[in-house]
Amino acid sequence: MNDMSNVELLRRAFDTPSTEFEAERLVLEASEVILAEMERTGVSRTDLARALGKSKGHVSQILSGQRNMTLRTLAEVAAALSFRIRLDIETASTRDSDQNLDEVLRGVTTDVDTSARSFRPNITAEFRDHHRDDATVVSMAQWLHRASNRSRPHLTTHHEPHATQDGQVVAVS
Amino acid sequence: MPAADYLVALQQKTPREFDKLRALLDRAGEVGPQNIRNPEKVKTLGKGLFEFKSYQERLFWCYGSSQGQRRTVLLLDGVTKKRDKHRPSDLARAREVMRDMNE
Repeated sequence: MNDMSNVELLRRAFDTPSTEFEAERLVLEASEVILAEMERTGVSRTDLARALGKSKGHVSQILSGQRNMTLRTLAEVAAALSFRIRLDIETASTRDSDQNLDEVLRGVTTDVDTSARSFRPNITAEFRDHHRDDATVVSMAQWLHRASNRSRPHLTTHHEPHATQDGQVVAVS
Repeated sequence: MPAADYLVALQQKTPREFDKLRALLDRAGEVGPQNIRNPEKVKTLGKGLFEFKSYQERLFWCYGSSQGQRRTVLLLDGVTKKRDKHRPSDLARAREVMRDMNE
């Protein structure tokens, strides 16, 4: 397979709007929001299954994306964990694209969790394509760059727990 | 199969699966792969090797060599498989590519 055509094919593929892509992205984001809240509150999958009146396998299937996560499912999980799901429209112009490459990559390479929640890739590095023997390795940087420069509307879920114990409302997205 | 070839083949043969994997990569880019909590999606395989898991699609990856704090995620090799456990030959190949890249 020709590498240059691969590069062009991938660039095109990564830029192509797709319902499947948007659906999966939402599922991933929703499952991450749920897992984060479970981690924060010390709720296990077994606990959540019990609260939902379902099996642990059911919960695993929801979180893995194997079972279709409907809005009702999401609402049931949120109610069981005592938080609320909010949906926002996000467009390219509202996304934080000011971060430079250093900031982005610091988020990737360090264990500091503080930058992770505002992590918005704005990678401008050249496409990297290494071909050694029969192994082709491509850097993810290009794809992040392409992903961060979509101009079409972008839908995300936001997680906003109820007021914390000291009354402060903490939004996590 | 080498990562780029694998992705192109996946996109051409099963675009829906490609789009699901693309969504996982997009998410990894947004939060950093180490911050994806779901073990069904990102798994540590040891000795610096990781995998992205999107249903039956598996993409081995590692962090690239660093320049100061700059590192990239290198997608090494991809396989399609139903079972969770990897064939030793798939892992060996991914590790070989990773060693090659980090020399």
